[in-house]
Amino acid sequence: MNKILATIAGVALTALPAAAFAGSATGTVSVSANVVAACSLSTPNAMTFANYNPSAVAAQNSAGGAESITCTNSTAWTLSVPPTTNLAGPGAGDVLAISSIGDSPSSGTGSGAAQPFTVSGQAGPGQYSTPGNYTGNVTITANF
Amino acid sequence: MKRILLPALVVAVIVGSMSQAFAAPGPSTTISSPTNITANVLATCTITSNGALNFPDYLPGGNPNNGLNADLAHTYDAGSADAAMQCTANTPYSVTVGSTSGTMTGVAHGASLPYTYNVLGTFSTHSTGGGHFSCPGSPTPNLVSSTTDNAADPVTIEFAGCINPGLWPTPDHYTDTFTFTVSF
Repeated sequence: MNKILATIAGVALTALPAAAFAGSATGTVSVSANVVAACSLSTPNAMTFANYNPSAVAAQNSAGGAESITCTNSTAWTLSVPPTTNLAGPGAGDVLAISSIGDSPSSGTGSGAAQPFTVSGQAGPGQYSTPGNYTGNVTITANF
Repeated sequence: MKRILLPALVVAVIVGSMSQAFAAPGPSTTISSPTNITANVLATCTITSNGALNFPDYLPGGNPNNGLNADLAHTYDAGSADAAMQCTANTPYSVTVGSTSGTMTGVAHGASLPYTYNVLGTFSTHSTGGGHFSCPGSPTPNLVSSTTDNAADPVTIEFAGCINPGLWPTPDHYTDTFTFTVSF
């Protein structure tokens, strides 16, 4: 009798299909990312003093170079630039002093999109330098 | 088993708190970018002060062979002042007067007193230009001082004039003005 029962049970187990699990369970996989605060400066446009006239009584303002900064959303940024610099002229020793260099605006909060700002300065009166073209540059720094 | 888990949990909480403190936000990163500056300096000369040509007292009975002259810089300094200008460096310039003769008018009586004048010269630290001027008679017309300074030095402009001898105008104080032109 026992032999018969054991044989029936063995046949029944062998006949069960492999995929027929009796239940299921679910789990979760956690996903995370840390977005780092970042900014990018784009400064393709020059600050220009088209025609500097040394005879002018007042300091002459430059046309502002239209630049932009792109920062991650909600990232506070500030800009700084050296307040003075000297431009080099057509001959050795020819100099044109530029002062009051600044950014406008000089601070803001990132939005994820490019935010414009301008860089401008002044050429003080009475600089009787050799006529001609003068060039130079300043470095704009962003802190965030 | 519970005794082992409890210290482990405490350690984990402490580590977590420290990690959050280190991640506090704030300005800490710097980036930079250069931008160009350009300028075009124009050639110019600026007259910074006008001159004065003050003759000494004219004595009609003086030496008829010599007009009384007023050399602004060299002969008579009292009451005189040179004109002055400043030009951009390496800029050629010339100073001329349109006419070399004029007429002064008596302040009280309105009489006339003719005179002649011209540019005597230009002088600066680095250059000197000028010509000859003598009395009596008219100075050389269209005297031009042309020079170039390699530095933007202030330039003194000197004028000179003559009152020819043999005139007997009404005693008075006579005045006039003339203009000069700086070309660059």
